[in-house]
Amino acid sequence: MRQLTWLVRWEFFRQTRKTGFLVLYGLAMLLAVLTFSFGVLQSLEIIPFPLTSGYFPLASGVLWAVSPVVSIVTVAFVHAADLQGGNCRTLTARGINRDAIIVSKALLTLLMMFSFHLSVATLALLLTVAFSSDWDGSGGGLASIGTSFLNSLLYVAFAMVLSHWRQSVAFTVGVGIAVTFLEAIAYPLAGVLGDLLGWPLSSVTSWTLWGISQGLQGDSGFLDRGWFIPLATGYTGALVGLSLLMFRNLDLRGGSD
Amino acid sequence: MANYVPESAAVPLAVLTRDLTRKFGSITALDKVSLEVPCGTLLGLLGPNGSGKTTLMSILAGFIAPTSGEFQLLGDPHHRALARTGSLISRPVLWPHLSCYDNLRCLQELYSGGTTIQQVELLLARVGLDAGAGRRKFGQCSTGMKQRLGIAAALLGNPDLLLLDEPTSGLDPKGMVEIRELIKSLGEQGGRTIVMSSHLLHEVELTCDRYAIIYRGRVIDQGPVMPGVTESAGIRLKTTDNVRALAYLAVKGWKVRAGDGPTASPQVLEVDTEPGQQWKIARDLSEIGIFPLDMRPLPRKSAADSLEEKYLAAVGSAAFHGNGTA
Repeated sequence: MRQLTWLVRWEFFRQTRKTGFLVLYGLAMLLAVLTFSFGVLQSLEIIPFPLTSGYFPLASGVLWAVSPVVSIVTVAFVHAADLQGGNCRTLTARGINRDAIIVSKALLTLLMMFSFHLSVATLALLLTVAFSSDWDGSGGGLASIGTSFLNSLLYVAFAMVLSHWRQSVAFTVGVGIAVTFLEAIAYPLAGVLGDLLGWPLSSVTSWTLWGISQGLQGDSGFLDRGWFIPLATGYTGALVGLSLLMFRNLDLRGGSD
Repeated sequence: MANYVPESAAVPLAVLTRDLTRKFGSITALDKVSLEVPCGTLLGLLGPNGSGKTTLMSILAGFIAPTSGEFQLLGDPHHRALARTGSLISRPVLWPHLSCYDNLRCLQELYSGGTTIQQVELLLARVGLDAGAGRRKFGQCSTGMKQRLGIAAALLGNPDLLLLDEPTSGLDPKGMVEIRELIKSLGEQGGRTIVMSSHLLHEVELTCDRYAIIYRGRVIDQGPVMPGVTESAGIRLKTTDNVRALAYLAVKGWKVRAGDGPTASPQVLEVDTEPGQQWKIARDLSEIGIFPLDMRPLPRKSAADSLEEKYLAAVGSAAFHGNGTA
C-alpha cells in the first residue's frame, strides 16, 4: 500500500510536468469552450434554438465526440511513453510490484478522465444557470455525460492493452484513434455486410457492438438503453484484466531497443 | 529453487544462476548459463557484441524473465532480493522533463520511503556532479552526465548488489577513470558485490577481481583476474599525429618512445604511466589538437596471465569448436 501511495503521488508529479500533456488538456477544454460558445449565442437568440434542457445535451455531445480520443492520448502519455522510453524499467528496478505500478497509472488516468468530464459538466451547469432562461430544470443529457465517462474508461482499458502489447506511443495512438472511427461505423457496417453475405451478423453485433457504439442513443431491437452500463463495464473489466496480465509478463524495454 | 544447494555452500553467493536460458523467437540469447558470484566480488562480464551479456543482466535485474532455469540473488529468491539490488542496464533511463534532482528524489522515495536534499546532493557529489547539475533537466544532460546519474540512481538506498552494464560507456577518458575508481571504491565498501559488463578488457583488468566470458549465450570461461596484471606499467597509443605527439609528450615530461623501434614516423607510441593516470596523456595531447585513436595497456611479459590472452584463447577455442562449451 505504501508503494502504491508513492507511485500515485509521483505519477501525478511526473505527468503534470509534461508540457505536451497540459497542451492536450488545454486543446480539449478549448474545444469544449468553443462548442459552448455556440450555445451561448443560441441563448442570446443570436442563433434561434430552444435550450430547454440547458447545456447538458451539448456537453454530452462534446464528450462523446472527444473523450475517446482524449482517453487514448492520455494512456499513450501515461502508459506507452514510459514503456517505450524505458522508464517502467526504472520503476521496477528495485522489485516494485508490477501490479502497483499499473494500478497507479490506471488510477491517474481515471482521475484525469473524471476531471475532464467534471470540468465540462460544471461548465455546462454554469452556462445553463447563467444563460438558459428556458431551462425546465431537467437534467436531460446529464445521464449521457455519465455514460460518456464509462465509454471513455472502455477506451482507456483498450489503449492500455495496445500500449502493453507493443510498448509504443505511435502504435497506441494510431491504432486507438483508428478504432474510435471504426467503432462508429462498425455496427451499421456489420448489418450491411450481414445482408450482403446472408449471414446473421446483426444478431451478434446487436449484443456485442450496439451498446458500445450507440450508448444511450437508441434501442437496437435486442437491447434497451439500460444494457449499456453492464456491457461497457464487462468489456472494460475484461480489457483491464488482460492488460494487467500482459504487464505482469512483459519484457520491459530498455528505451533503446 | 527450494532443493538447490550451491556447489560452494561455504561461501555466501550474491548471484547464483542454474541453467538460465532465454530465447527470443528462434534466437537463443542465453543458453543454460550457470554462474556463481561470491559476495563481495567485483565480477567483470566480458563478451563480444550480441553474446548475451545484457540479456543476462536484464534477467538478473528483473526486467525480463528467463525462458527456463533458476536464479537467486543475495541468497534469496530474486523477487525478494531485488529491493537490495541496484542496476544500470543498457543506458540510464530517467524522466527527461524532470530535473536530475527530482528524478533521484522520486526514485529514492519510491525505493526507500524518504529522502532529504542533502542525501541527494551527497549522492550527486559521489558520482562527480555538482548541485548545478542537479537542477538541470535530465533530457538536457550530456551523455557522460546521464551515465553518472544512472550510476547515482543505481546507488540509491545503498544496495548490496550492483549490476552495471557498460558503466563507462559514453564517458571521456577522465570520466572513465573516475567511474572506474568509483566502482572500485564501491566494491571495497562493506562487502558489496558488483557485476559489471564491459567490452574493454583492460577496464575489467583494472577494476575487477574476477571475470566471466560469455560467448553465444554461454559462459565459456571464468576465473580470477591475476593479481599484478591489473597494475599497468604503461600504455600503447595511436594518435592523429604520432610524430608531434612523441615530441610534445617528451617535452611535457612523459617517458615516451616509438613502439615500433627507432623510426622517423612511428605508427604507435609507448608511454610509461601509473595506473589511473592515462587520461592525463589524452589531456596533454588535446592541448596541441592531437587526439588518441587507440589506447590500450602495454602487453606484459607474463602475457599468458593477461585477460586479453585468456579472452582471445577462450573465444577463439569456442569459435573453433562451433559452440560455447568451455
